This record gives sequence, C-alpha cells and structure tokens, in this order.
Amino acid sequence: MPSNNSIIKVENLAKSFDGATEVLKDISFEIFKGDVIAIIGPSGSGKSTLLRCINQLEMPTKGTISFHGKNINQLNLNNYRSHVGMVFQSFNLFNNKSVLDNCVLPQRTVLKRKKKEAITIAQQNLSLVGMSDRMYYKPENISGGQKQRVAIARALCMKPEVLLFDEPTSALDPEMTASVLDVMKKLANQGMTMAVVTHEMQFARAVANKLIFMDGGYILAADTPEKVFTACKDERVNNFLHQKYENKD
Amino acid sequence: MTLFEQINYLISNYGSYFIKGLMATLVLAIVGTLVGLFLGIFFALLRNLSLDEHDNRLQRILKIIGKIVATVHIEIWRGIPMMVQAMLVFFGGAAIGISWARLGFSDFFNGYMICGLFVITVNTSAYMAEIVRSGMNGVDKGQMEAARSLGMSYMQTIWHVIIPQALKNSLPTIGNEFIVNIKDSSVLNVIGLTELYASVSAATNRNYFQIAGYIIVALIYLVLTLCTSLLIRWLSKSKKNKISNPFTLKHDNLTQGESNNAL
Repeated sequence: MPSNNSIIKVENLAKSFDGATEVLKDISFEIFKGDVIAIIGPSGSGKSTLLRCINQLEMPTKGTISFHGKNINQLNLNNYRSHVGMVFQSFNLFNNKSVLDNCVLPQRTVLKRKKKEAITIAQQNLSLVGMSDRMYYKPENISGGQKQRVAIARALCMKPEVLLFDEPTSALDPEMTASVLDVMKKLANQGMTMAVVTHEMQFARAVANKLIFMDGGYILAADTPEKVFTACKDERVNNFLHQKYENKD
Repeated sequence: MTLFEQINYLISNYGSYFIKGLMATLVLAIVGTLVGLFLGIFFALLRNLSLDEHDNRLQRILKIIGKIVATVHIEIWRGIPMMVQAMLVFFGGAAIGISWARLGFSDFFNGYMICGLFVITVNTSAYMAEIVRSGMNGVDKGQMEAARSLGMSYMQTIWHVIIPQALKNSLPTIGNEFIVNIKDSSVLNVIGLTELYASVSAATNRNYFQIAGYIIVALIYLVLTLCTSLLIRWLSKSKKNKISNPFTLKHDNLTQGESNNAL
C-alpha cells in the first residue's frame, strides 16, 4: 500500500520540441513508494515523453522533477538514473551481449559490483522473470516477450526505487503480452514502485492503485482506477475508455 | 630465356628480395590498418560529438573544438593522394628538421619504413574514422538510450555497447581497407621504401626481366588479397554472435549451436 513516502514529484512540467510543438503542458503528479501508476491516453498525448522526462532522456522545457525532495538537476545524473529504471517498448537489449551479460554490464559499470556478485544478482532476477534457462542466449535468439522480460530483469538488477515502463507490451502478441504482464503483476505484488504507460486497460484496472489519463499534453484525470473508469465526468476520458472496452469486446 | 624461365631465375636468385618486400608490405598494411583503426575510432568519436542539453559551457566549447579537429583531419588526409602525402611528410619533415633516418632503429625499420608507417597509418585513420562513424550511426538509437537510462555514462556506453556493434557492422569494410592498404602501400616507394612493388626494380635492374618480376609480385598481391577476403568472410560469419569484449562471459553449459537448435 502506498505510504506518504514520496519518491518522485513532478511539478508544472512542460516539454516542447523545437520550441514549437508542446507535448507536455503543466503536468504535476507524485509517485509514492509502493505506487503502481498506470498512465493511459490516446497516442500522441505525451505519455512516453513524460516518462522520458522523468528519466532525463528528454530535458523538460519548464517545471521541476524532484527525487526524494531534491531537484534532479542538482543530482548526479547517472546516479539518479540508476535509481529510476526504465523498460522500453522496443526492449533495447544490448545486441552484442548475452542475456546474462545484459544484466551484468550495468551493475559492473555503474554500481561497480564485483563480477561474481553481479552474476549472482543477474541470475536471481532472470530467475524471477522466468529467463534463467536462456541466460547464455543472444537477444537475436529469443522472442519479443522473452526480450522484454530480460529488459525488466536488467532494470531490476540495479535495485531501482522506481521502474518506468514505456508501453512494454505494445510490440508483443497477446500470448507474449500475458507473460510480460504476469511478471509486472508479480513485481507489483512484491511492492515494486512502478509507473506504466500502457494500453492494457484490464491491467491498469486490476493492478494499478492510481490511474492517470493524459490527452493533448495535459492530465485530464488522476485517481484510483475504479473512480476514473466509473465516475469520471470528463467526456474525453469516458469516450476513450468506452472505445477501448468496445474494441476489446 | 622464356618468360617461365625468367620467373624461375628471379625466384631462385632474387627470392629474398621479394620476401623482404613482402614483409615490408605486410608490416605496412597490418600496422597501418590496426593502428589506423584505433586512431579512426578516436576521430570517429570526436566527429560524432553532439551537443547535449545537459552540457555546460566548457563541455560545449570542447565538443565543438573536437569536432572541428576531427573534421579537418579526416578531410585533409582523405582529400590528398597518399603518394603526395608521403612526399610532403618525408621531404617536408626533413625541411622542418625531422630526421626520419634518425628515427629508424634497425635495418628493416629504417627511416623510410618509419615514415611510411606514419603516412599509411594516419591516412588510414581518416578512412577508418568515417567507416567507424558510419557503423556507429547504424547502431539503433535505443541501445544508447537503454544504457544511459540504466545510469551508464556516455563513454561506458560507447565502449561496451556501441563500438563493438559498430565494428561488427563495419567488419567487411574494415577488411576492405586492409586490402586497399596491401595494394596502396606500393606508392610509398616514392620515398625510397623498398616494399613488394619496389622489390621488382631491385631484383631486375641487372637482368631486365621486368615482366617476369611484375608477374611474380602481381601473383603475390593477388594471393594476399584473396586470402584476406576469405579471412574476412570467415570472420564475419564465425564472429556473427561473438564480438569479444571485457564482459563477455564463458558459455560453460550451452554453446551457440545448441542455443540456435533449441529454438
């Protein structure tokens, strides 16, 4: 259950590209320890950009992001990033490394862990995501769902305080989607703090404790999934959710 | 004497000339390609520097200077024929007080060889820089983003993730550059360096069997380049999944073949 322990606080965040296209407009929200936040909304609404701003892969144009109360601009960027893991839609496993090496390399280079310790931690996390039997495979020899599970294990090896998921299942077929969602549910049950950009409404409703709906760069609704799904008065939110459920049926 | 007898005569009496020339050509091509590749990676990194939103003022200035230095280096060394470069470096160096003869340290590695090695290495570095840069730009952007999102620094990402993939992508072109160096090292005879091509003059200046001499070196060049082509092709295939790096772990209980079969 979420406590009052704030990990990330986003305040009045704005992001524009080339000084013209404003993708995020005045975004404010907070991620508390244990939160599972689902960020939903139509394509182009700024969901992915928001996650990328939190991980500093994009620099916000305005506003502040705080990590444990400190503005992240005052923190060491690489150190901060090692606490905020990110899982991408396109997996982005290192193609020149085996599954195990993918998990070992960041631990060795960023956390300076000893090789033996790094391998043990990597094996534990690969086992957690059900990939311990593919440790020595190269990314090109495993399926999309397996790649995404390895990407999750790689992020977990850094022992992050928050995991950001950017549409982790959008590139997967339903069967593989289920395997990745199972891992994410497992993590949520273990108390991992997560922010998930997703189009999986069932997952958002069942697993998230907070749901953020974005459109046009604004947050239109932020509440518990039940309240957003059943009691939200915003027409655009209702239309979107209605369409999503109709399409599912 | 028939042509065949002339060839036989040259091999029997002047074989050591050709072997010495062959050694010089191989040293020039191997050192030029390997050190040129190493320098090329450095210049590729400099030329690929891009301004980042996180950079401070000093970092921006240094990046711009680095980019300019790399661009000037690449354009100058790619834009002038190696023969002209060799003349400029050898005689120009002497004019400004560089004694190439004094830099030599053995009969084989004499002043001509040192100067030749310098020219072919720096010349190759310019081509390698563009080859590696193109290989780096061919690596998916997501690779860099994933590494940076985990907290790896730019240089760690470049060294462990981007460069190995860029080199793998560029392996055929790098091999091609080695073949070019085997052949183009012949122009270094203009500064007095006796490599394979120049060994013909040394072997035939008394007997005038030039045609036979050039047939011999042509065959040697052909064998060298064909062997290199085969080697590169074999390397590209066998190293498909095995680009070495300091973090590659030994595959104790599963070979690549098994892993492929298992799928």
